[in-house]
Amino acid sequence: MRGEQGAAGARVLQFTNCRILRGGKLLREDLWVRGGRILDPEKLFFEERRVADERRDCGGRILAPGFIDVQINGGFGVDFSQATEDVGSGVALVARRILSHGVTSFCPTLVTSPPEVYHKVVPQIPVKSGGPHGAGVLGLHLEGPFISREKRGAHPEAHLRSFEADAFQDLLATYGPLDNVRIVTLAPELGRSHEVIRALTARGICVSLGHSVADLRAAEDAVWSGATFITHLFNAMLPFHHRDPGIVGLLTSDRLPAGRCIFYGMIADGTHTNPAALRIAHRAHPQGLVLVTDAIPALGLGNGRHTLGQQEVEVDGLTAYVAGERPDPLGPRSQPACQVAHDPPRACPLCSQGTKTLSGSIAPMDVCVRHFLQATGCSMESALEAASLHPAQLLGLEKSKGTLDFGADADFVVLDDSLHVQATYISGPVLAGCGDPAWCWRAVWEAPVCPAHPISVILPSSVSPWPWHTPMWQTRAVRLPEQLRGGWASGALLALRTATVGSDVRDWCSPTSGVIVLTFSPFEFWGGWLPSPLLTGAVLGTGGTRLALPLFSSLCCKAQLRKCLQVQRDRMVWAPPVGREQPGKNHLPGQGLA
Amino acid sequence: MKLIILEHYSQASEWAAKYIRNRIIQFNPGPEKYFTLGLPTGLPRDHPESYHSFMWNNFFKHIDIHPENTHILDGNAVDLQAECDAFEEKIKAAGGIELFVGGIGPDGHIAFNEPGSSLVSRTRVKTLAMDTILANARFFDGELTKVMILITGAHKAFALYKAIEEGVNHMWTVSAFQQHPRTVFVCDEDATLELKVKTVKYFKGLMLVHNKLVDPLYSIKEKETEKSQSSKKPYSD
Repeated sequence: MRGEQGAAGARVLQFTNCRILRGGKLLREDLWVRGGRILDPEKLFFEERRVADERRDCGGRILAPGFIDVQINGGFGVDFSQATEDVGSGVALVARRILSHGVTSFCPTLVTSPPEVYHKVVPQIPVKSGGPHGAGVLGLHLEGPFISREKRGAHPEAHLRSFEADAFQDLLATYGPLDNVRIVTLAPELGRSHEVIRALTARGICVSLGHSVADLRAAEDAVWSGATFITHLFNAMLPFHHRDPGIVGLLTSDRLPAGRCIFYGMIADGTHTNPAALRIAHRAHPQGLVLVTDAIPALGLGNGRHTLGQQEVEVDGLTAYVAGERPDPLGPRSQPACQVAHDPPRACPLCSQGTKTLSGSIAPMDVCVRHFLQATGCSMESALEAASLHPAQLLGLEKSKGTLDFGADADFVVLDDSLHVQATYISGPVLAGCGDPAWCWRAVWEAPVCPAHPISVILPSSVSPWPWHTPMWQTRAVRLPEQLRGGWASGALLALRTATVGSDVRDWCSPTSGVIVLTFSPFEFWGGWLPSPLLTGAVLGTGGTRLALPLFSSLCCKAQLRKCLQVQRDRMVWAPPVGREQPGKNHLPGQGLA
Repeated sequence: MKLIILEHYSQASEWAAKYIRNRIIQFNPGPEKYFTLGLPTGLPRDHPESYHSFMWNNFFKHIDIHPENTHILDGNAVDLQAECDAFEEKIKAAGGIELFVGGIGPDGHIAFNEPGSSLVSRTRVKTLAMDTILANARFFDGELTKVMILITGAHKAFALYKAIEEGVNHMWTVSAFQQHPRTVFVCDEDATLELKVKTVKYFKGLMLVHNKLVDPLYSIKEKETEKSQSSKKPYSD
């Protein structure tokens, strides 16, 4: 698969002008890569007497190991727990799309499902190396069905099981062959769980505790049997109590095997865990924190209803809840009010639509990393390690993944100072005997970057109601400055005042800012030659420098813009419209960059 | 012999760096006239504190030198004599030594790894130093070869005193450079602690003149334009 480090003739790449995460620090060093592995440049210099074949300037950015997501239930409309005919293409789709989030390896997660689903799906998702086609699959994460009834969360009650009868044989009967399985989440208070945990650990499968009402003692015993992970800490377990901390107490337990580090997943999307709780966990045991997304199929899609396992969920913003019954079109009169008090509220056909049971997250991994950094105030290195090194350590892969040490796989992300992903690199297989690797050594995904010259301008489409307006808004990217000089063809009589826009825009744009969107309202249109106080624009920042121009939103809907530009919500910067500026809060042309 | 006294270690380093830079540019390196580097070492190459690691981390990885142009003596070679002979051949082929940069150990021996002199055994350094100086004396063409010795720190003060205020002595081998016409000693204040006040004042008074070695600071890019314009002979040592 990946070439040996000493592969003669393989191209040597040197990434310069960057900071790399190595040894827990961000060092001002170059990253050397050959044959899909990180190369030791000193050996290359003194023993092989070679220099790099290609140098890439990273523009001062951060190079971090690629993120590893050990809990992701699907995304972009794909549900890993659905037994479709072609599971492989669904996994491939997700693998490709999460590259833009900086994830280079992941563990597809299956929620509680009937055995038929496992028997059908598990063999279809083999372990696979990453490459230009998508992130690598490290193995499956089977979350359930051997979990607690009370803490099942969004998992369907009907399919929960226990292994009291035959312990490990029960488990095998449910899942089928375990070749592709990497992590299993179970509740340790279930009968005979220790036998099962020991059997799984003996097979090299990581056992995780979650969806459980175990107390601290039971959890510690489970760790002694071989458990090493806690699935989404705080969620679906007993809350921390000062006389019985429950599973949460494992973070600071002194009754664990010597030298064993207990890892715990945290969903840092701002919803599943209060930032204060995040900080408590991080401060108690920072080396064990693993950032996971627990993403559901709605990841990457818009608001609305989607399927997760055997249930339906409703997405609203960055949160997802278990969907209740659809509302009766006749209104509440025909629906009897639910007489049973639900504590905590859960899906009930009699309640009004929607519940408060969280159902997985739709925050992408890079959003989680940024939120984690901001919520805990930890160092950038800690945040990046929580998403890369710690999951690798959990799975015992820290020699090859989650690190930029010499000899490790060359899976890394290029980030700007605000930890937005600029490019993702995964090395692919080198064809044996071929001097030049067959795979294209470019990033498998790159954020749209706007250099200072020229600037990309995208005009949203919209239909103007004004009769003297020919609706000639075109959705296209045009390159400045040529296009701004004069008007657009296509029959439009519109023209932008280059005096107000052309030269100024160039001053505003910086190498890290993204795209400038220019729109203008019909009110100013008189052949476009009049000064336009309503000239509007928005700048979508991809990095540290963000510019905000006044935005007039009457004609262009934000959602429309977002859709046509296909960027994520958290990347867009909006400013109040002209005329309603507040002192000190606006950045008008020439007033400097945000 | 010139003694350059700067206030701190960092300033001494910067002065030395500027001097080397000017010398390189004056040397006018090109495809035919290449700039090489030769150094001996004692520790195994892989050792994190070996000279190879030191030179890589502190010098080579920051510049675009081609590995072909670096020659580091392997102190662990099977046949040391053959290794030295080969090294001499390389020096001859390159046209002799243009600039020699070294430091001194606290005992006055020429040491080639400034902070690492404690890493190499004293016996070895002594042997290497004596042999190197005697064997390579013919390469130190008085008129053409320039020598720069860096001495910083109070622990080197006595060695510096012996090197420049006493006579030429085999116990303090660096004193041999007193007879070399193109030697520059660069040191910081701490290293002058054992010198006479008279000596220090004398050389400090000459700083104005000595600074012409580093000022103007040449640049490869400007060299092209300067060549055609200036006919002034640059201050040389």
